[in-house]
Amino acid sequence: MMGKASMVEVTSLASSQNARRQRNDRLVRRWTATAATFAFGLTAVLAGLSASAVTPHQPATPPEQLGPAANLGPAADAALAKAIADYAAASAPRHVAAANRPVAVSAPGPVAARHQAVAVSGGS
Amino acid sequence: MSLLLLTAVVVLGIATTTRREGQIWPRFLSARLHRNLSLLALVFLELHIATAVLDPFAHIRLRDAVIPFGSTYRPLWLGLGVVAAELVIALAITGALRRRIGYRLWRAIHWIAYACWPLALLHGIGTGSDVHTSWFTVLDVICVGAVFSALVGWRLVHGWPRAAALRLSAALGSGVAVVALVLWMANGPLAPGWARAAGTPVDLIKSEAPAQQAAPPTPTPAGHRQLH
Repeated sequence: MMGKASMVEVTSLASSQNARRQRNDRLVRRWTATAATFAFGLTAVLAGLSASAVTPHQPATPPEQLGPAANLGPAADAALAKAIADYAAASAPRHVAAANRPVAVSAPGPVAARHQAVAVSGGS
Repeated sequence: MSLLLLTAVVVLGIATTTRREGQIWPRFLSARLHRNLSLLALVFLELHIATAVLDPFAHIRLRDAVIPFGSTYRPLWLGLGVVAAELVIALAITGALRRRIGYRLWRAIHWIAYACWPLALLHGIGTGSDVHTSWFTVLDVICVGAVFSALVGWRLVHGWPRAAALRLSAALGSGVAVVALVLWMANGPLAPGWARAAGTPVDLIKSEAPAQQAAPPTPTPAGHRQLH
């Protein structure tokens, strides 16, 4: 009778140890899976952040913080002077009428009427 | 990410050594999670090395990933990473052979884990191209804070007052190391001109410089990195 009781106890003990081991294994697996998921997810997020940080490329200093143009040196001064000269040349009239060339007025108006009156009267 | 996992492994290792446990955190969990996360950290470390070698930007050769301090790209800081990686691999191998080599030898070798983590941290800060970003700073603060707290709050307190002078020296040294790290970061990796000082090849800096001087109205193609 005693032997049967102790066999039941041993079986029960073994079964409870087995259940506890399985429970512990499950706990470890769950935590490991959580950590692995977190690690892979965070890696993806950080890779995205890193990629967005390197592109698009931004200039090191904003233009408004570059300081006065005089700081840029003689090369910039020369380039600026040339640009001004080019602009002035491009905006100047290309054809200048000769001083002795008769002025042709075709458009009607007060100036044309005055020219016509001068021509008829022969005066200056 | 490798540094974050390595930090978790170190903290769990300290928790295992000091037999930390709570209502929801049994002691066996620290030990087994320490082992599993070590393997995960090893996987991430291999991925990190593979992507660094395959990335054409820094021209890191496979040889540079194996032999420390021989790289043309930031040799000292890359070399620290190589040393840390090799120590991690040595720890993993001796961990697997623990029963064969004996507990005493394994424990003696396992002390190098404490050297491995700071080397990895310095490598990340010295070499990392994202060191100027806020998320990188947050991760560094988390890692340093976690290891410092576990080391001083758990490891050095555990077994007190045995070898009190040694423990106090270690705590003081850890505090000084953290302050030194912050000062170095402010005057080194976070200061202008770090790329040149860290040993970035001149052609990489030159290829980056004209792009930084120009202020194009449209963004340049993807793939550029800012070298500070």
